[in-house]
Amino acid sequence: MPLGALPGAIRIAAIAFVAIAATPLRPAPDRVPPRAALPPSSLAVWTGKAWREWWRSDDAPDRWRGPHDAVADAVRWRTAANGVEWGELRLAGTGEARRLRAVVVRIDPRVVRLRLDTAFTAGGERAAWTVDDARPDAIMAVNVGQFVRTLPWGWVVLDGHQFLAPGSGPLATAVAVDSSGTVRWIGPDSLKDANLRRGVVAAFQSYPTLLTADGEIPPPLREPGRGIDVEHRDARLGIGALPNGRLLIVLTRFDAFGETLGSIPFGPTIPEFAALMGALGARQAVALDGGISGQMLVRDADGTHTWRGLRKVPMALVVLKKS
Amino acid sequence: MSYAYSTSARTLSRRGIAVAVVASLAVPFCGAYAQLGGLVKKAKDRVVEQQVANQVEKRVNPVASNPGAPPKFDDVTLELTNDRIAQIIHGLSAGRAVLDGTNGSPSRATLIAQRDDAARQSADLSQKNAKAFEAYNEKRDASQRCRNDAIHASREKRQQANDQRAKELQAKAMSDPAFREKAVAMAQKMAVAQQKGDTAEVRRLMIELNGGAPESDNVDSLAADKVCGSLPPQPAAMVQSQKLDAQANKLSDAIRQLEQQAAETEVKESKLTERQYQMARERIEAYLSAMKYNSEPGGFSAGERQALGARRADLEKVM
Repeated sequence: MPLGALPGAIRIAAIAFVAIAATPLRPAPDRVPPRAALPPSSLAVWTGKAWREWWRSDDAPDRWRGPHDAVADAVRWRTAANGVEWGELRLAGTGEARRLRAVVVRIDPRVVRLRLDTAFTAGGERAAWTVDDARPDAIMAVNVGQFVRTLPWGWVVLDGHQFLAPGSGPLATAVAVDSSGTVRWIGPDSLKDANLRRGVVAAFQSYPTLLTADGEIPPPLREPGRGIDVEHRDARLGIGALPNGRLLIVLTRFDAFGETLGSIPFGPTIPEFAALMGALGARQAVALDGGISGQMLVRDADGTHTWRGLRKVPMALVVLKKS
Repeated sequence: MSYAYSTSARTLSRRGIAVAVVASLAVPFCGAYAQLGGLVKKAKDRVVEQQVANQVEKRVNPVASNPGAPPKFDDVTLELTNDRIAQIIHGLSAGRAVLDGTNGSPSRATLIAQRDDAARQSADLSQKNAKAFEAYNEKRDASQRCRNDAIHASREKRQQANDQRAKELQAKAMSDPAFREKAVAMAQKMAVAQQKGDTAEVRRLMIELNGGAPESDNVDSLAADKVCGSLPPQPAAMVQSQKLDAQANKLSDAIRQLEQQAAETEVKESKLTERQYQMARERIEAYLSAMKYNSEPGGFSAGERQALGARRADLEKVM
């Protein structure tokens, strides 16, 4: 029970209670239990002059408290519209991820409008959205959520109405936009809280969580055998929250021969991708449907920039000008 | 030093600690190298850095990169041989049968038709009763504003009364050693109960200390009812529309469950593990997509291309 909710009559007791609770306890021993190693890998970023290694699986941090200078500085930001910036960075990883490009978009939800679009074939038998279906006034569009066959997995709210019920899973995160444009990040347990769901106009759920609210890498992403495949390489797509409330969206592309083969689903592992989100400054983040589904569109003064996927998807996050 | 002063001083001191602890936790941690775990070496030796850069340069040399090359096959990414493709087609066909309702449950097509029908009826009702819905929404919003104001006013009034009561109790604690003893003892008991997560015991102790049950939780809502009346009733068509929406949502969930069941059946009947199957399925989708758009499918061995080419029509039928 929060102290602020206590009747005034017992405030004295509450003060005493706070004082007792504030008495320092003996600190727990600062021991980190030994854990299994991530598969050996590393990531380097092209700084414009040289490759700079910035992450190694054998020295991976458990938490990101801010962006990594080399990675954050490698992005040359371009303005797509007021509140939307994008850029790219080149990465070099291990194995199939030896040549990668990451497309990075920063969105200020306070100055744009976010909505979810869905698309299915006429009989509803197949998901049908691709970046080519993005509405003409979209500044940016990207596939969101996960799906089994046609319908999105987990909680979906469209235009203020719940379209699909929440899904559950320890590493599921819901991203919800309320009527003021504020984005809420809701963990798996908190979705039961009706207050957190109130006023939501658009929402989706996805998994796995890459960074928790304080930039922490979830334990299942830190070592093998805890329910997440930490070895598999794939094209990745994720959404994160920057400390100032902006959204960060990152799509990785195979970059051996430019964008021609960009949709080939070779890319980072999940731990590497979580590190990339953290290194770009995200405080919390969740993976979206990458692989052959990952696709994105950005429109700026130079025209429309499209990174296509190989699969049609049911749902997209679309960024529009605020009317 | 009197006992009263001593207690007060200790309390203040602990409060000071509490404030300091809270303040120190609230101070933003912002180092130039902000990540933990020693990932970034602040003063990285330039020679070492150059060596690393050279190694990476070698690794990413495009001459060594062959985008068409198959991935490394392992126990998750299996090579798509004729036999494995046959297994996958068998799984896909079994999954398709689930979607078609051959196991006795409604087919996906039926569920979709029912859902779309409910959604259509709901949309029709909304359209035909747009004016009534709008009028209701305006009334509801006005009522909600009135209630918010009334709840706020009621809460403020109670807060003021509580503050006054707290002042009186603080004065009593200073002048009445027996009451003070009781408050401290209660606080200790509460701390123990709180640590155990025993909220019922915390509440009981609060009531005991307070000398009676706290005000009911809905006291502010009741005050709002008095000032603003209850929320206006919804038009019948709106209630009906909401029922239809709920029905459509339920059917969407049923479709999703059926799809999940079909996906599980696919895996089971393919005799592959889930990860093997999902990986194979995704690679097959990539292959079919590339073929559809007449582009060269990347990431497949020669044998895989041959096997997939031979069963392309079958795969397209069941995917």
